[in-house]
Amino acid sequence: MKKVILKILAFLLILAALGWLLYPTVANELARKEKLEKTEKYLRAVRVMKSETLTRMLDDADEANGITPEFKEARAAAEAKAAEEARKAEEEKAAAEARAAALEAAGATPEVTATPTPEPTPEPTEVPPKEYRINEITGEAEFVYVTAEPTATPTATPEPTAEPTAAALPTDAEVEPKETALPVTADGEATGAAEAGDLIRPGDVFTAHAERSSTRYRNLLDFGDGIIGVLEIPSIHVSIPIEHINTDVRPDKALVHVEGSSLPGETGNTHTVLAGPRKQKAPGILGDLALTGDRMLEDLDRVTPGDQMMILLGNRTLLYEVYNVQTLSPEGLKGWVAERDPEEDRLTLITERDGRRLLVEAVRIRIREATEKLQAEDSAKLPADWITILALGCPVLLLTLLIMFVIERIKKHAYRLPGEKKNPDDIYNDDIYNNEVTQLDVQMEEEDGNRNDGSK
Amino acid sequence: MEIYHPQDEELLREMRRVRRSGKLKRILWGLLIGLVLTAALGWFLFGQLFALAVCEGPGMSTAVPGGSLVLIRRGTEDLQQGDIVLFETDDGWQMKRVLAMEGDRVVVNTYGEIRVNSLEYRADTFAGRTEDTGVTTRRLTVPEGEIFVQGDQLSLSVDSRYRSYGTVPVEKVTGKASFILWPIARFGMPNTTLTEGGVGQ
Repeated sequence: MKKVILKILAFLLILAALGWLLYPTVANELARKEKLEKTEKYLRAVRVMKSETLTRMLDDADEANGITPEFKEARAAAEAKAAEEARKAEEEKAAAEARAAALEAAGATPEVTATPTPEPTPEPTEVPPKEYRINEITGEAEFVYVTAEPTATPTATPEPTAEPTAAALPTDAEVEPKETALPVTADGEATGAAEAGDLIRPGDVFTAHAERSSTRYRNLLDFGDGIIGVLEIPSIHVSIPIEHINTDVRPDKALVHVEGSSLPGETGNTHTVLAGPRKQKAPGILGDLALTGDRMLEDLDRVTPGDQMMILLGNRTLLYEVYNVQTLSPEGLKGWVAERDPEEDRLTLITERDGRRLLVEAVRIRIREATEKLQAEDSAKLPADWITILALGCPVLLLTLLIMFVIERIKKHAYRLPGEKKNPDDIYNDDIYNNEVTQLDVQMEEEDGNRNDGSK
Repeated sequence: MEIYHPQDEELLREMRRVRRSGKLKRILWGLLIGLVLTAALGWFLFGQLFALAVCEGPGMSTAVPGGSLVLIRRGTEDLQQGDIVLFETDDGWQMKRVLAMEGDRVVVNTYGEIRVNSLEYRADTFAGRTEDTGVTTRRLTVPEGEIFVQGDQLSLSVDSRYRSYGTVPVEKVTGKASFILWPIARFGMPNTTLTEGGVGQ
């Protein structure tokens, strides 16, 4: 009886251990499923949208970003020209290759025609060295990747940008303790986005007072359920829907777009700021019980300069390349400014990390210039054969063990001896089948042999 | 000579003892046979019939998210348009969707449309636009023994639409994806039907 209880306890213990090991994974995957469903819904909504509606939504967003139509036209013209030149170069290259192939077929040795093909500048593949600096505002040490790009860090003076009011870092007098993190217009109303020429200072969105965002803001780029787009970071397997910030949609629960920063766009002179939590609770009761939540931006500290990020915006895809990763204290974040450059679209992701704020800054790059990198990213790995065999053979092995166990149990029952009790476990308490004792019994029998004549 | 006649109880116990002896040996033998069977079955199933692949990258991230574990069915006899295939390139393996088979006429026009035999196809998991990429206009007929592949993320996937990438020979194809094992959210057979229709109205 004792043995039975022990066995049951052992079984329960193993079950509990397995559950403890697997449960976070299961909770993770369920939360991930919710995110993927949101993404799917988003893509479906985009698919059925009329292209005019889509264009209008994107134009509205550009307008809210303070981009004038003339600016857009100028940029679009420049883009079109660059695209056209790239295409011509491609076609010339192809024609030259065709000519070379034809010459080769005709028997003549092909001359290497020196067609000046515009090679995309090789992206820096090495991780730049980290540098530890003292933040001038907070006096704290922080690390910064030192890159060749002359982009501003909070400790450097920002280079001349489109804002005529651009100044050096805000001095102590300028950094007022704000109640809200949103820029306000003259009327004191929070605007949907910063006007062109304003400095975007999102402040510490994680601890800022939860303001109700304006309806106008929430109607911009609303592809359904308030989702603006989807953020993807392939290097750390991140794919999260981006939502409008609001009283109930906060950066500690979902990936939000920070109102006041530019909405994602392709026009230049924008700086989009997104903020999100490290983990997200799984939905429903599982989340309340879960020991861990689904990864959101938890692995963001593994992102290095040179990594790519994408925002799926409607049917457009915006590709960004990380150029700077840094951590700031909450006070440092309050003083941090999201600068804008008239020729660039910038993206900054902010998440919490050990009580500090991790910022990942990226700049938008043209997809056609990132072809090689994109091609290198798409890959499939086949685990070594023996790993595959082992990994998928394990269920077979377990099944074999189970079958053997069952066979042993059947044998026990099938070979039940006459007079044997149904529950054979008491046999383990028998120490009488020990040979010695049997011999003793035999001796005693012989001594009593006279008394037991005839009995068998 | 005295012949010992065991009594019932002793007989019982002795028979039990004999039955229990050799149990360890039986278990070990069973284990060995099990291992051999597993290895044989594993080799057959996963060396000959199937393959496992972990798919990374943004090119197919809507249908097969980065880091997904996919079960590939080896064999290229029944390849069809719409299948997700694993194939070998100069730099390793990649996983993309078959858009056109040999003999099909493929046209990439200035509007960023990809037409296969004058029809446009799309799947539910397509995202992005070809216009965003550096793909140039071309027209080609897929050569014999080759296939035209395309990733679901039209903006981010470098595939046969690019002149430099070209079509993929069928002998480089390991097989088609028959089941997605991980993540749980994508568990199941991948969608391999392409519907006729444009990308956006």
